[in-house]
Order: sequence, then structure tokens, then C-alpha cells
Amino acid sequence: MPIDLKKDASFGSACLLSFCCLWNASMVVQTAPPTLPGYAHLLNHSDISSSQRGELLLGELQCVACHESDPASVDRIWVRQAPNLSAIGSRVTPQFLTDYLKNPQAHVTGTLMPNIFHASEKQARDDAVEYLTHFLTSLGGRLAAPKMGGSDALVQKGDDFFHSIGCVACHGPQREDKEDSLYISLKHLASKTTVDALSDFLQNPSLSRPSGRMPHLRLDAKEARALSVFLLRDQLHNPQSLAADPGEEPGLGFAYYEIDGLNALPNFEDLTANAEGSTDQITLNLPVSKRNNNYAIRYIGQLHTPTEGSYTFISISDDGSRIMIDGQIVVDNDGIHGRRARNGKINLSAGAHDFEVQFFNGGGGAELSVAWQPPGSSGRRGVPIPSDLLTTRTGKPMIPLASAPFVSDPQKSRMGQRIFAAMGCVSCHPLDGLAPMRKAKRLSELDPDQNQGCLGDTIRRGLPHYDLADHQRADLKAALVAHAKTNPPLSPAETVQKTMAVFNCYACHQRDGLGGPSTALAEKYFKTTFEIDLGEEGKIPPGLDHAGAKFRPEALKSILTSDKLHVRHYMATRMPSFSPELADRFSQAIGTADGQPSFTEGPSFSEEMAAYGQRFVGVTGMACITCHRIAGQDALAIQGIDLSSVYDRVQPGWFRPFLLNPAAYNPETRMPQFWPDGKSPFPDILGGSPDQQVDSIWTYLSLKNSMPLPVGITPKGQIAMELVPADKPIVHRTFMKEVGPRAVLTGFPEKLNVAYDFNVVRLAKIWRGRFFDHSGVQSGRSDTFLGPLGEDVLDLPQGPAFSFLDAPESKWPTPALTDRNTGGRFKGYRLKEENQRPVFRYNLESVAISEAPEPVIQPGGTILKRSFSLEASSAAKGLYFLAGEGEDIEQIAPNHFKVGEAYEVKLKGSFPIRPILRQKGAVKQILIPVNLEQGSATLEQTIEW
Amino acid sequence: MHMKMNRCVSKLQLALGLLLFGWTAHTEESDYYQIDTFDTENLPMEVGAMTLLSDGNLLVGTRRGDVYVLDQPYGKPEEATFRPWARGLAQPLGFLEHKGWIYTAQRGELTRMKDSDGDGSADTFETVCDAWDISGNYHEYNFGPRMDKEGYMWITLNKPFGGQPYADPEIKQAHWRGWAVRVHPETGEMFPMAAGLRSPAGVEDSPWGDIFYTDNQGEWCNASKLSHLEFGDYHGHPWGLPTQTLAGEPFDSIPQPVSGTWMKDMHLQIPQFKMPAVWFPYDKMGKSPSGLRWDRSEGQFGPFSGQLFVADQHHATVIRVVLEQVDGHWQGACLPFREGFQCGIIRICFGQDASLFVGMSNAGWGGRGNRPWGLQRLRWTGKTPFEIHEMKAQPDGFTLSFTEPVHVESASDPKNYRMESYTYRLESRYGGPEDDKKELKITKAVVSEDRTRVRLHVDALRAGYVHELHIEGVQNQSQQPLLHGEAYYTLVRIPKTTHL
Repeated sequence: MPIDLKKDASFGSACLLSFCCLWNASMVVQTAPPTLPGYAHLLNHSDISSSQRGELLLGELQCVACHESDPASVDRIWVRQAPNLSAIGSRVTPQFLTDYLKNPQAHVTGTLMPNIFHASEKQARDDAVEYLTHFLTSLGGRLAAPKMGGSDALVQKGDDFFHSIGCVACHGPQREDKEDSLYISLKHLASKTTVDALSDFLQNPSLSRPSGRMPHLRLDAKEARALSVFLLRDQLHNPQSLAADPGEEPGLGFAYYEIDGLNALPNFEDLTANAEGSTDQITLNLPVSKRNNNYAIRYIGQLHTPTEGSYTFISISDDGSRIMIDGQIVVDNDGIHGRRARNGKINLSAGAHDFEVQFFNGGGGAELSVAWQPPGSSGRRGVPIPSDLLTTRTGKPMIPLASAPFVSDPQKSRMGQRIFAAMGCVSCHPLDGLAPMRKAKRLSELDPDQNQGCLGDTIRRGLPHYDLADHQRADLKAALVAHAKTNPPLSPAETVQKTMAVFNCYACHQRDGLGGPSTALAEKYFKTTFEIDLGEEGKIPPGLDHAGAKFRPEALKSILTSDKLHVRHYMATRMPSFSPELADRFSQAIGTADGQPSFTEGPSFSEEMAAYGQRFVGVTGMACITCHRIAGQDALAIQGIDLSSVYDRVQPGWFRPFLLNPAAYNPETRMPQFWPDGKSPFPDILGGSPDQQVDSIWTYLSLKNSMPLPVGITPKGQIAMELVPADKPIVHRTFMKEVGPRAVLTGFPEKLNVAYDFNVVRLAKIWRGRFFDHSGVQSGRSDTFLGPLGEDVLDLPQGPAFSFLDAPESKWPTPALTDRNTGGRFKGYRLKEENQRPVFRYNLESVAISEAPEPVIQPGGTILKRSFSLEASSAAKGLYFLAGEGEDIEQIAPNHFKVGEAYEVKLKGSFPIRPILRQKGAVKQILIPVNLEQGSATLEQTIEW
Repeated sequence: MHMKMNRCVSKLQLALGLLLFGWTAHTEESDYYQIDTFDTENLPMEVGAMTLLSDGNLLVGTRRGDVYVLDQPYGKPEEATFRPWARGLAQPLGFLEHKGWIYTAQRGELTRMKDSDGDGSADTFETVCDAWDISGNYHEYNFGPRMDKEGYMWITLNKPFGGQPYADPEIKQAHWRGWAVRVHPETGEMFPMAAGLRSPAGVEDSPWGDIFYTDNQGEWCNASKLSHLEFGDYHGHPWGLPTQTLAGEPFDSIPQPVSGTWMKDMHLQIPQFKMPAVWFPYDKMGKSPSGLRWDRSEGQFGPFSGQLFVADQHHATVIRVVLEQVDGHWQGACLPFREGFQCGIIRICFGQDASLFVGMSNAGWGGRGNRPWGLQRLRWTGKTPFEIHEMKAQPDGFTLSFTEPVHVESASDPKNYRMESYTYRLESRYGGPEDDKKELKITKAVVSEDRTRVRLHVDALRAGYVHELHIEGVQNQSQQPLLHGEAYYTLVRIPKTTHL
């Protein structure tokens, strides 16, 4: 007969016990044994005994919370603390609590929480669960209605983040429907909590999970939100979410992009932003902007128009910009240009409109200001849009699945509180003012040979049902046998192993042949944050063999508790932070277990030794700087671990043998053995002694960030490899900024420099003064597209010099970034015998063109003369030369033009020059029809700027 | 007194030792092959390209784009001079003289250049072929050209690594990266030849006119290797596969490889998959193979005429490769030859006097040595080292030949030989472990009548595996040990019949 708890307000413990004893044999639910990823690493390993594994289970399943044991035994066990429930009400939905408590294992696959009601009568169970739910939801205040919403973009971001920072190590990949029993399930989260509550939890998991099994990943609010949106993504499709109103927050969202070679607004839909954020003003002064050139920004949000009417929008920008409202372009100010205003008009209803401003800067100055003239306003310039009219949607609403109204009932809550104490929940989940109402047998009194209790084939009513796997039961029994004997303190090696299993360090780190990510996980989810040629060393967290001898104990503690000394900046997987107590215990144990190196004091310092070390580290020695950053300066090739961190991290007695034979520590290492067979390649330095040579490197590295830089490092911002055309021109092929990967540059001693883009075949840039720094592509592995070194830089039209047009008014070709051969096919060049000046050759269809750029020295600075010679192998009609392009072009004389304030061109030819000055879109162009009736022609253009 | 006697004894022992065993004193590589160093302290000689000119001088190109003629390359190194010949090239990584032109694969194109006005430096630079794309990544190096027996020039194209600002918008990378192509030297027409290359830092024509190349281990190339390049081959890296639509048959039917497949089984998945000729086990035989040249000196460079020499950019070594064709597949062994060069090696080139010029640079890739660049010369001293000369596969083992007759007793003791076998998987991970290892038993070692060969019977050979051989205790007739007692035979195919 079920007990009517509602009637029995004085509800005593005797009644409760009898309630627990009600039997219902018909319950069969699909469940899985407790999931313990760290424990799983210890399975099937000949060096690990069953009792060692069982001892781990005793702690993780909290057996000693009910079965007390003597201190020596408890010391070995490391009892996990169950979640702290003192504020559970503010984190979890009542629906989830109800479903979960009814049958934890059925609701959360592999949960460590035992089923208390496995043998209870359904009605009694449901009643008890109802009271418990009322009690628990009263703790810490109610779960607040979600404020933060989500979006597909955030889901994607969270998805990427989850699958790259190492969450998969414990929780497994979340991209497939089927769950792997190796990993801690997260499938239930969408009904459990909100984005806000989960974000809070993720930023500080130890508040509610005090024993640190879920470690601190040092997430910022944005990362935590993206992860939460991803984990709760099913809520986006919850009908309750779809019906809810999206919230809004003040300001516009922005996305910042770094793109090389921009000459117009990019198609943002195809791009991934380098940074995102929100701003209350449309300004270029964003905290994330790093570049001065080659970047684009997109501001997106809602514009709340106060009244219906005709609105004018104005955009003043350098270079291009665009204003879009409700998906329609209202102001188009695109293209490369100086400060330029454009405006547009649109009729808008009162209320919210999609609002977007796009901007890019190719090179040179950058400016953006957006203004409007609302209906009825006066003034030609417009006024800034009031920032309180600009908002961003917080995202699509995300309501926990199957949310239902819940009215808390203090009386039910009180009854729940008693059940909580009476049933022993409080043994694992301590709460202030509540004490367990009964104790179980002491651990030493449990008889593993008896098929009974929590480990029996059938679990008696009233006992917690852990749904253990057979091997887990066997391991627990073995541990009980062991604990009934003596319980010596854990040895250092045992402590290390236990730590690594309990906290699942094994998921990422290998030690003594145990652990490390599986091939499947390693291949897909262990990545570098940028493409770096470090092989598997760059992706997989380091193995911990010898780690106790390698690290200084203080360094190890700091690595374990903070992100200080996390030096693998290229590794996507994030090393979590653990408690100081754990760090102390672990670093001490691993230090003892691995033994200290044969010496722990470094060589005594001398400036002379440091100077030798400096030489070895630089290109004058072993060139360590090829693959290692140093004192914050980039390495020459691979941006490996900064050497200035070595002294703080590792022990000198480890450093020496490691340097002498790195492969002994990792057979796959990329690190060379610089002293093969113990022989130094520098027999004349320090007597050729490898030991002393390594010691000198150590001495140098001991200077840390104050070390003088070694030979080979050019500090950021300095010119490393300047080309100087001293007495004759230099023709030089390279990558060049805004010119492309097939750039051919010429620097003349007359301080004139020209750069051709032979992807397109066009003269791209001219400048005066210093020529070029070719370290951008010539030092190590760099592929930096550098710009000119000198001054007076003039960018010439994006299109080719020559083109065939169907008609004089036809569009001049505008090649895209990767278009090839728009202006012909490059055929090479020759250097003139008399002065080594180049003559470039290219073929445009049947016309062979040669182009000789030459400096003309004159007062006011050298100018450029381009001499063209054209030969047609067949009748070539409709060929034009683009002599200039700009917003304003003025004809000064028949063959003399002024292109804006930028430059002047003069033209001469073997045929009568008949320039066409035409307007094409926003720009004017000077076209010269080329007369090839004679089969050949010459043309000369001078550019003065 | 006691002390004194001891000293007497030790002196006696020393004298005896000298008398009896003096010739067993340890010999060194330098006794047989000597390294000469050209002074490049003040000239950034980051050698990326080298060729012997028809006038006997050496043309040397640097990765910075400068080209020098090394005048008087064969005398004392200090008498040689570097004469500037051209500059401003983009990463030239190979030279070939052909009909008065110097052909070179630069980053952007196959160029030919010459000195038309005879003033001693190049003045004419013609674009022969620029049909491949560049996405703007440092790793888009091109190697070659080398000419095949049909008169075409082969170029191997590296795949990029990292940022690609000028990627083709459709395939998000550049076309033809990771391919071997050949180009008609006059018309400039380009033909795709093989796909699936990773970092093919050396390409070379064999004495019989075929083309071979070296590739560097990494993702999808899980052990460094030497491979035979033939039309239609796929060498395992998927990077270049988006270009297969331009390449046509048989490349358009190559699927994405499945990571984790045993190399030896790859042909079941992709029929075009080509097994290597030789794998270079990591760290044992270098880490980064680069330039390669056959010894065509007919004995002037020592006892290894007809064999292949391969340089390593990481270990600063030159190793030796012996090849044989088994069942239509070129395969063979690699063996240590000479270490101790001053920097990681990129190019090697035989001179007119059969000395081997060795050009190096560590820019971007760390390695052994004590200089950031250099040009050295390796000369045979005229002494013959006691070495394994060749290693050939037999149905049930291997035949080793030696540079000198062996001491029969030591050479016929199977205990003096140790053999281990292992293979690799084709995987997306970087590099790969020596996998499925197994020690193989040498059951018998039979010395030939002329004592220059030993027939090893092995229980049992494994097709598709490296067979790593270590010899310890085998001596020549004067009871010297081998200079190098190791060889690594990549046994792709097991011969069906015994051959000599």
C-alpha cells in the first residue's frame, strides 16, 4: 500500500524506511555502467592490478561516503565529492531533476549517481521524487529565465571550440548521434539547464563540482557562451524557443576580417572573421583592429526608426564602404579611394530594420563615418545615428526542452528535505544543517565473497544501485580484499598514476605506456591553432615520461594551476587548471617517482659562457632560432616554444642529456641531434666538449627575456634584407603586397622603383627612394607580402595596360585576385647591354608587346617613362592602351592629362594619338586606341607624380 | 716494482697489439672520402641549385635567387672564385643546361636564361612554362628540371603549408601543387605526370633515362622515400587531388585515400598508388632527403659506380642507394655513406673530375652542422673502404656483395647478421612509426667462391616491408670490420627466382 505522504506531515524515519522497501519487479530500463574515462585507461593493462582499479572506483563512486573506513584506507582512496547542491535550483530545471531522480542511469547514460528507487513502487517513487524536486529547486533560488540566446553561427563556433580545445578527451566527439560508452555523456543537457547557467558553470566548474574532475579551462564569457549554445543546440529547435521573443542588447555587432590584396568590399558570407564583438558606435577604433591595411569590418544589427518617412544615409570613407538596410544597398561607396562621401535615400516604416555597414581599407589612410538625416531634419551633412537606436539581437531564444511551469510548494520542499537526509543523499551531497540519518557497515566489515549489498547480483531495496559492469564489481571486490589488509600510504609512482587516472590526464598525456589520445581522436580532434610544421609534436600534448625529472617543481605547479608556463602556443588543446593542493601533491610525487637528474644546479654563471651560448643559439651555431621563438621574437621558420621560457621550466640536469640526444626522449621529434655520436660540430669552442657547450646554452638561456638576441634574429619592424640598386638596376622576382605572388620588381639606381604583377600582367606600383626588403620571402619560411621600402608610392590601375575591346565604350577588364594573364602572357625579360635596364615581354593574343620602364631624372624627382613596342603577327584591331584611371581626370593638352591630384601622364606614339576620355561607373579612364595597321607600333607614356 | 711491471706488461701488450692488430685500428669515413670547404663565410651561399656546365665550371644558385659561376672548382678550394652570373630569381631549386640555355624551375615558372652578349652574366630570361598556380605560400617550391629520355623536362611541385592568400576560390588552394609535371623545353607545353607528392625536394634522371624523386615525411607521406616517377602514378598525398579534373585520365579516378591503410595494401584501394623504391627510416637514414645523383664516373669516385647518392637536409649526410628492378618495380636498399658536412644539404652534383659538390642551407629547416650555408666538395682519396657494395633480394633472402673479399669464417656465421622488418601505414598524421615490427631469423650465410658475396637465407621475407640489416663481426681478409655495417632494403616485391 503506497503511503500518502501528503497527509502525513510529521513523516517519520520509520515510515521512510518502509517506503524504501516497497518492491516492484517490473522495472526494466536500458542503462549503462558508470562511465569513468580515467579508469578505462587502466583496463587491460598487465601492470595494473584489479585492486588498483577497484581502489579508484571506491573513491569515484564514493563508497566510503556510507561505508566508513580507517584513515589509512581513506588516504589511499581519494574520495570524489559529488556535486555541491547548495545552489542546484539556480542551475537545473525542475523537469530534469524529476526525470533524473526517477532513474538517473536511464536519463544520463553512464552517470555515477546510483539509482535509489530501483526497487521502489512507481507511485511511491514518483511522490518521493516530487518532494525531492521541490526541495532541490528551492536551493539557491530558481533557475532564471534564459537571457542569452543562440544562433547557428554560435553553434558552429562552439562546435569548433568543443572539438579543438580538448573537451573530446573526456566527453567524446559530439558530432555523431551514437554515444560511445567510453565518454561522459552530455546528451541530456538540453533539458537540464540554460545557456546562462551553463556558461556560468563552465567558467567556474569547481563551484558546484568541488573535486575538480571537471577541470577549469579558463574560458572567457564568450567562449563559455559559444560552448553552451553548442551543447544546448537542441533548444534552438524547441517549439517553446521558436515561440519566444528574441531579446535585444544595445549596440551593433561587428566582425573584423584581415584579407590581403583587397581592392573592393569582399563577399563577407564566404569569410571567417578574425575577431568579433559589439560596439555602440560605428567606428574604426575597435579593440580588435590590428592592421592598418588590408582589413574589412562589418557592423550588423537593428536600426529602430522613430517615425515613418524618407531617410537619407551618408557614408564618408577611405577606402570603400556600403550601408544596407533590410538587405538593400542604400549607400554604395565601394572601391579604392581617398576620403569620399556618398549618400542614399530610403523610405522606412517606424520600427526595427536590419541594418548593416560594411567597410574595407586596402592601403593608405583609413576613415569611416556614418550619418543620417531622419525625416524633417535639416542640414546637408547629417547627424550621427543615436546609439540608443542601434541594437543587436541576442540570438534566437533557447528554452530548455520540455520546460513546464513549476510552482514551488514549501511543504513539499520540507518533505523533500527529510527524504534527502533519510535516504542518504546527504552522505554524498553534504548540505549545511543536514546529517545522514543512518550509516552503512564499515568498509572493512564488507565481505566481498558474499554476493550481496551494492555488489550483489541483485541489489536489495533501499541500497543504491550503481549498475556496475562485471569487471567493475570484480575490481571493487579486489580492492575490498586489499583494504581489509594493510593500507600503506600510496607510493609516489602510485600517486602519479592515480592522479592521472582520476583526473583523466591519460586522455591527453602518455606515461609509462599508458594513455594518450586514441588514433581516431588524435587524427580528428588534436590540432594546431595555425598551420605549423611541427608534426605530431605540435598537435598532441607531450608525454609525461621523465616529466618529474624534467620540470622544476615550482614550474610544474604553475603549469597545473594556471596558464603560466603553458608554452605550446600553437597547440589547440588547452591544458586545464587544477587545484593548488592537487598540484602540490602531483608535482611532489612525480618528482620523487622519476628521480631527480644527476645534477640540479646549473653551471655557475659567467658572461663568457653566456656569450658562447648566444653564439650556439644563433645562426652562427646550432641555429636553434630556426624553430624556436626567442624572447618574444619570431623564429626564422617554425614558431616553436620560446627559448626564454626554458630556464623557468626545466632542470639543468635534464636539459643537458635532452639536448645531447633529443630522440631518446621522443623518437619522432623534429629536434635535431646537434652532437651526433657525442661529437661537437664546433671542435674549437670550449674544447669541443658537448657538455660544456650545452652548459653555455643553458647559461645564455638563464638570462630569460633580458637575453641579448642571437645572430639571425632581426627584431620586429626592422629591415632584414634590403636590396640596394647601387650602380645598376636590380630585377627581382618575389611576393609583394598588393602586387601578388608573381611580382617582378625593378629598382633603378636613380631611386625609381617599379613593380609588375605578372599574374595579371600589369604595372602595379611605382615609388621613389629605397627599393625593397626581400626578407619577406627569403628568410627561413616566411611568406610575408611586404610593400615598398621607399616613399611616393603610386598605385596604378588594377586592370591591364593593354586590352582588346569590342567597342570603345566596352568595359575595361577588371581581374579578380587570382585571375591570370588578363593583360597577356608573360614571356620574360632581357637586360639591355648598355645599362642593364630590363625590357619585359608579353604576348596579348597575336600581339607581341615589349615594355621598357626607365627612370627620367629631372628637378623635383625622378619620373617614369614606359616605352612600348608592339608587333602584330596578324591584323589586330580594337587594341587599346589604358593610360590613366581616376575619379577626376583633366585634359591639360591633347596628349597630357592630370589624373586627380595623383599623377600626370603624357603620351607619344609612332601613330597619331587620339585619346578617349570616358566615364565608366565611378571612374574616368583615358584610353588610347593603338593603331597596328602597319603591323607594328611604338608608344611612350611618362608618368609624373 | 709492482707498478713498474704493470707498465712493462702494458707496453708489451701495446706493442703486441700494434704488431698483430694494428690494421684493425678504427678507420673513418674521412680516410676514404675527404671533404673540402669553399670559403663562403661572407657570401650567403644558401645553395638550392647546381649544375655542371659544359665548360667544366659549376653553376651554383642560391635560395635567395643569386646565381654564381664557380670558376676553377677542382683545385684548392681557396683558389676557386664565385663569379656573379644572375640575380633576382625566385627560389631557383634546380638547373639544367640544354642547347645553350640554363633552364631553372623558379617559384612562378620554368625559365631559361643565357648570356647573349657574352659579358659573363645572364641577360636573357625567357618564360618557358608558367602553367601552375601559386597561392602565395612559402612552401610552394618547385624542383627541377631534369630531362627524361624523350626530351621532356620534369618538375616536381611542393604543396603549400599554411596561409594561401592567392588561393583559387573554387578549390581554396592553387592548382598543380603536389604534382610532378613535364614540360616541352621549346613549346613550354605542360603535361601532368604523377600526383600525390608532398615535399619532393629532389628530382633526377637515372642513367637509363627514367625519373626518380625524393619526398619528405609528413602527413600522408609517413616515411621519407625515393620513388620512381611514371605517368599515371599516385604517390599517396591527397593535397593535389582537386587538380585531377584538369589532369584528366588516369588521374581523374583517384579517390581520397583512407587514413590508416597499410602502404602495401594501398593499391587495393587506389590502383594508381605507387609504392616507393626505397624508404629512408626516420632518424636512421636522415630525416629530410633532398638532392640525388647517380655516380656515372665509372670508378673515378670509388667503388660505387652506377649507384645513387642521396643527400639529407637534416642530418647533413650523403647516403647511398642501390636499386634493382624486381617484377617490374624498382626497389632496393639505402646505406650510410658520409656524414659531417657543415650544414643540411639541398643539392649534390658531380664535377668533371668525379668529385661530388655538396651545396647546403639551413634557412627554414634546422639540422646538423656548424654553418648556416655552404658549398663543399667530397673527394675519393683512392682508398677503397670495406663496405657492403650491393644488396639484392632473393626469393628466400638477400645477396650481399662487398667491396673486398670477406673473411670466410666471420662472413658465414649467421650470428653476425641481424635483421628486423617493419612497414608503414598511409596516414593523415605527421610521419609514422615503424609498424608491425618483426625480427627475422638469418638461417644461413653462404660465402661465394670468390668471397665477395654472401648469400643470406632469411626466415621469412615480408613483402611490403623494410628489411633492416645489421652486420657486426664480419671482416675482410685483413680482418677489418665494415666501415658501415647496416643496410635498409625496402622489399616491395619478392623475386620469384634466384638471380645474381
